[in-house]
Amino acid sequence: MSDMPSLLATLVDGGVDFVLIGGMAGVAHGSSRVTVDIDVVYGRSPTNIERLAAALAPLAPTLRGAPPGLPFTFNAATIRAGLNFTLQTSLGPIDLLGEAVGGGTWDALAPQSTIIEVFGRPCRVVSLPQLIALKRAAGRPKDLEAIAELESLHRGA
Amino acid sequence: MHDARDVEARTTNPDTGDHDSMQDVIALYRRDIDMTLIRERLAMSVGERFAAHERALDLVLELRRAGQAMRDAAPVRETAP
Repeated sequence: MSDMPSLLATLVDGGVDFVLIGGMAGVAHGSSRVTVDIDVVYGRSPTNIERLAAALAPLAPTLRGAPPGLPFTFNAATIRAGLNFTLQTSLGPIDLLGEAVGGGTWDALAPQSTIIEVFGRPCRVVSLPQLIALKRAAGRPKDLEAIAELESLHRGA
Repeated sequence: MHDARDVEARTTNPDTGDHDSMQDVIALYRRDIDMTLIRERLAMSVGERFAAHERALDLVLELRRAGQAMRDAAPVRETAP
């Protein structure tokens, strides 16, 4: 059963370095647009990759959209060998990005991010200007309306 | 490069068969739809979809609250890029 709050809490409780981006980050910055998936940029340090693997492995992650029966083991070696993963877990879908389009790495995003308290847990959220930049870099038509709203929020509407 | 049939398909409303200039725009949006998420939703019962959406909304509401608390704590209006 999909349980987004628990999925986010799993990352925090696992000590994973990550920055919340995407629609959920937009919500934190005041967006009225409702989204139902979690996108995070995670740190690529060896320690953090180990933490990420340990945190999510119990949730039996699979690659979303992969053919049934395709062998996939979510562990540190897999994360090291890859970069961005679109996963389905027992708590719902999550996109794990080692780098978002537009240069959105942990190292680039973390210094300007903000830590907010979500369900009593500290959660790092991408800054509003960086979120706008990421969406601009993605260049998807469906993001255009979101960018317009985020820029209005940034100007203080 | 699109041939004439591609253009016709993109500008034809699949439901009515009528020419529809909005289809080009819709096709652009459709390109970025995450079909894997849609398949996951379709695999759920209606009750499961509601429950999943409710839990997602729980997170949305909490993020809104947390974000508002952040802005209240540091009400600095940034300059637009």
